[in-house]
Amino acid sequence: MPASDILNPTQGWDATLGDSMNPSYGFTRKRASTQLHKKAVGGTPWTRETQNTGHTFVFSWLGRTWACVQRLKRYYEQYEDGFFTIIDWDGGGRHYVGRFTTEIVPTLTANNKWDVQSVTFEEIPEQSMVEYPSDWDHDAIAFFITNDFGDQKLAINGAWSQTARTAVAGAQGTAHVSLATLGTAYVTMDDPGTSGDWACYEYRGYGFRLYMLKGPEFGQADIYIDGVLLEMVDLYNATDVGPQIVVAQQSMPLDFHRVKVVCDGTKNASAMGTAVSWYALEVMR
Amino acid sequence: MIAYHPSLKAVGGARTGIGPVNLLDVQDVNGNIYHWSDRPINAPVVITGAIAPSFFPALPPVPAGQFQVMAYATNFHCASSDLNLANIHQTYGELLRRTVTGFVLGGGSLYWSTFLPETPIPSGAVIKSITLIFDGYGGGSANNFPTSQYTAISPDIHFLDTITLEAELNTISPPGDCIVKFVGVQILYSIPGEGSPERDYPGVAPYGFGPYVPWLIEVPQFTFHRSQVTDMGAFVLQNLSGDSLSRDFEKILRRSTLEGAFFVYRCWQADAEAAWLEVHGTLTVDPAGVDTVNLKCAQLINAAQDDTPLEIYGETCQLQYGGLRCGATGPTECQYSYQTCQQPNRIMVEANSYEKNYGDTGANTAFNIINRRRTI
Repeated sequence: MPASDILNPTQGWDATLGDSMNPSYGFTRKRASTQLHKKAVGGTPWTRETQNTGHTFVFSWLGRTWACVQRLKRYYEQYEDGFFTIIDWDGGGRHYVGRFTTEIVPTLTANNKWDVQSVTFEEIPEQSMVEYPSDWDHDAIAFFITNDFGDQKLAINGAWSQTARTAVAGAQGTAHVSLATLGTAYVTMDDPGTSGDWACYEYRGYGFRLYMLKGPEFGQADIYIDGVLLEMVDLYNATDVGPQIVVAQQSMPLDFHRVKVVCDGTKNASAMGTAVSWYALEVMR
Repeated sequence: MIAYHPSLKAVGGARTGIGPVNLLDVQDVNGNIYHWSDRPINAPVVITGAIAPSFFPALPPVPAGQFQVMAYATNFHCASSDLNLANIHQTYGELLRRTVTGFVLGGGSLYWSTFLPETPIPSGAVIKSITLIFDGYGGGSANNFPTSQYTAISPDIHFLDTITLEAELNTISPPGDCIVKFVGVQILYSIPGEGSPERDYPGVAPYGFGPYVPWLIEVPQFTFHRSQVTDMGAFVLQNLSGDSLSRDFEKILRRSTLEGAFFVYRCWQADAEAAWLEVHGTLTVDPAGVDTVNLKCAQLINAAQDDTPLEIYGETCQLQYGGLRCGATGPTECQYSYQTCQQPNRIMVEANSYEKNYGDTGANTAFNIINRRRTI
């Protein structure tokens, strides 16, 4: 598995190389926009995610041993038509899978040391990883049923309708949109629980965490990811606790993914209803 | 010369600095209506989806205000009356005709109920005013003294199970025999959320939120040839909005097609509430781009797009002998010529004088194979 071939498996000194494989100056962590934007003379811009391009890094290895340069050259040659893993040790050890898209040009400096500059590493989507990104506090972003301009981004089919709500005790907000303060306003997309009604969100990223309402009146729903049934969730809770993470799926490669909630029309024996309510989708980027 | 609206002259000369807005109203063949602009605006729409009423007064007594839509109710049932009315009858174009005898100025009331707007008032509409429209004529011995046409009377309005209007006929004068024609009821309403002040969050005049969504990226520069040369151009609309699964345009095209859709384009001066330019036509759709859609505009009526007539006009009759449309009942089949036709009032030929060389009774009509049709 190419993902297990790691260019810089250790954070520190690699005795076999007599050097460190970590690049000088760290990771630039640049990610080109994958959205198209269009805007009329007035009004808000219209946007659409159209590509699954990942991060791009420009690396330099300065004053390295020849063994280090040899490894870089081998990775360039081996994975010109493939991918390997590089670890951002400075950034918390996050893994990236991809390949070098520019040549390795070693330059002899002095004392038998070599500089390799401006090497572009490009992340490749749709590839499995040894460790998937997991820093939900820093790298994840939240998608709600509408974007900030009020355009509904959650695709629905059936008797779904938007409902304005306020936070209750126990409500679980996304990493950066807190619902800890009672009475905080938020909006959900609700379905009475008609069997077969579905809501679906397509996002670009890695794994996701799905926030749905839990309470005594909520029923059961099937969660599909990219068309495959992930699990059936029971949204019943004895008390109304507002949004909760009902599904957390971290191990997913960078790509377009579709998270789909299908109402079962069934409920827990203790539940008073079959309603299903979507609050937010938090995705790893 | 086309006269500009006075408000345009005032605003245009004043250089208010407020630029005109491009508005595009579209109605597709399925009746779906779209309102697109190059910025959000509270402009009144011109394609409302309402079917023009079959009858309405020629001169609306009360013009519709900004954001207001007009509807007429014309199908009345006269519930009761304490006026001294007689000789109730109706004539075409009038809803009720009452001959009022001994009418007393300011006296009496008429009650109607169960009126039905010819153009349905959408649910959620806020009725701003209801005006009874009468046409009164003096009659009797003092023949033909006209009262004011379309006299508008503000009625008391009672909303009961059905809407009942009570109108005091206090402007029909003088007393005496006269004919009161109840022309109709003019209803002015606005629709919350569609450009009216009743919408959820009013925009800042003259711009603001309204029925028009800002999808219009580019509008054509029209060249008016003042001839039969078609004035062409293309509207460019954004093709990005929509939910995360599908674009809005996908949904629009899934619902219907914009091919042949009717459009009204206006270069709208918001502060003058009038259009500098208005173009009517039909749309044709170019292949959609990744972020824009091109809608080409074409002329309103294109005879080349008409369906081919089902039948060809020629000198031989196209109707089957003895068929329903032919109507002939004779025992002998005709020769499909005018001369042999037994039902010449129904014959379907082009009356022509192609054949000069044959006798009157023997048109050169093929009996088996008709190969001499001349298509026009």
